Amino acid sequence: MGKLFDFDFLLEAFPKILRYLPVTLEITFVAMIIGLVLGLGIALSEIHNIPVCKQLGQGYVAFIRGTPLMVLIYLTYFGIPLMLESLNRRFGTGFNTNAIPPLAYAFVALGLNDAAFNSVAIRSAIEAVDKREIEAAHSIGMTALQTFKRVIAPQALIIAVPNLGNQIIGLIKGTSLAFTVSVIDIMASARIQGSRGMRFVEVYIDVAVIYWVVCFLTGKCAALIERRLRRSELTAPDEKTLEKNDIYERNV
Amino acid sequence: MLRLENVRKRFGDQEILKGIDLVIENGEVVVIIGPSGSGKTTLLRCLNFLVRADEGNLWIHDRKVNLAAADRKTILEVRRSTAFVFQNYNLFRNKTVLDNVTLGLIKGRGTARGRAEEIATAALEQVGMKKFMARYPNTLSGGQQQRVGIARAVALNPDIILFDEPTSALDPEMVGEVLDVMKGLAGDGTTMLIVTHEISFAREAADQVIFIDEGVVAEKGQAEEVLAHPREERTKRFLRRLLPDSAA
Repeated sequence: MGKLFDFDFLLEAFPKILRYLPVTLEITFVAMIIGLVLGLGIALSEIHNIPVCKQLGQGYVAFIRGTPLMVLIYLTYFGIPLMLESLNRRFGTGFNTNAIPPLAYAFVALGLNDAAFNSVAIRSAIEAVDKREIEAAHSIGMTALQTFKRVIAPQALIIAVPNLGNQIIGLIKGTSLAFTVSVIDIMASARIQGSRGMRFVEVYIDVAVIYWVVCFLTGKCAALIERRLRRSELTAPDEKTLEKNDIYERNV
Repeated sequence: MLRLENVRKRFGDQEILKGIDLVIENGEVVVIIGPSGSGKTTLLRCLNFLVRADEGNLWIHDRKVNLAAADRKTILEVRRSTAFVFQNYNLFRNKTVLDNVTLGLIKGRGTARGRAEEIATAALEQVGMKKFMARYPNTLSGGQQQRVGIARAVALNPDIILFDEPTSALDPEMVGEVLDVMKGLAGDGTTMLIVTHEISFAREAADQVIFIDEGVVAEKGQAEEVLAHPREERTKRFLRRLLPDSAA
């Protein structure tokens, strides 16, 4: 009888799986950028009540929230070629749907998914910025754009970072579904190694460890960034130093 | 000279301002007093377009501005020739004291950073906050924050500074330091429109006192006259409530 659990196989498979980590990170990174840009757009259109955009955004968020990621991935995988094909037929364009690399579907599906959840996090962060500071910015003659850049965005960022960090961790884990559209990432690679030796627990332990480490480091990074951004709130000295320093000079 | 004409504002079915007229000469200190809910704050906010008036005109620089219908550019111009000091200071919490003061100069007025820092330093010096330049607002006491708020307004060298109950949110022992700064500004000839409940400050520093009640100017005149010898019954009642031990 063979071994129930083969630790050597686990060790041997690990570097083979790890080799595909860049693919996982690439999907994460590109989807994150799509998610942040689109998410910010949706959030702003809701906050500023931009007609049509706002309704589209709300419908979009509602749709994505209620659709499993796997379904979304299949929808893009089968839906995008269909759309391009219909454009080809109607306008005589020459899109070659077979030339689309599988990675592109993973970027789009995960990015679209991420955008919906990001938009909620970004909107609540922007709305959490003290309205009185926004008034102050207006009162000193700053335009709406200047106010957003100098006052709202820097503070909203601090509030949004923990949520966005969680969002990225969710995204990293979500990339494990990309194998369903034949992307070879660490998950797909684990499946391949597993089938080769007919040993699956071993390879999934490998892949679990990799995901765990990446997510753990991402969480640490988010915490670090948040701490850096919050430095203005961490420098509060105690009451005593305050009193000692405060020798009020009269100018009258 | 700055003039307000027939300023009206309603929120829902409640009419807050029922046609206010007001003239402020250059260098004049005008204090607005009145019961809470009488529309004093709303009047200041309308002047600076933080609240959009339903009706009314503002004359500033011999230029007529429609408070109800001004476009974005005009609003920006009015805001860039006025400054506001808020009840709750409204400092930018993510910026140092110095950056709080320079931001309006650099972004609002287009002043170069070096020059803006010179102006800001002088303004902070004037309010006694120069040595706190590198601090963040939440490390300061309320009185100190409000003095920075005043420096932020002063640095802009506006035609008028609007003060919205600048001492109402302060602990009693901090009121004095802020009022002292304001008296200093009054002495320097800064044009100021101040909403306050500090009657003794008004008596000391104001040229003109305006009593607003239920959205109208109920009484106005020389500070001493209105505060010591009010003609209107409701002014008398208001002052009696505020200063129970005075003869007014």
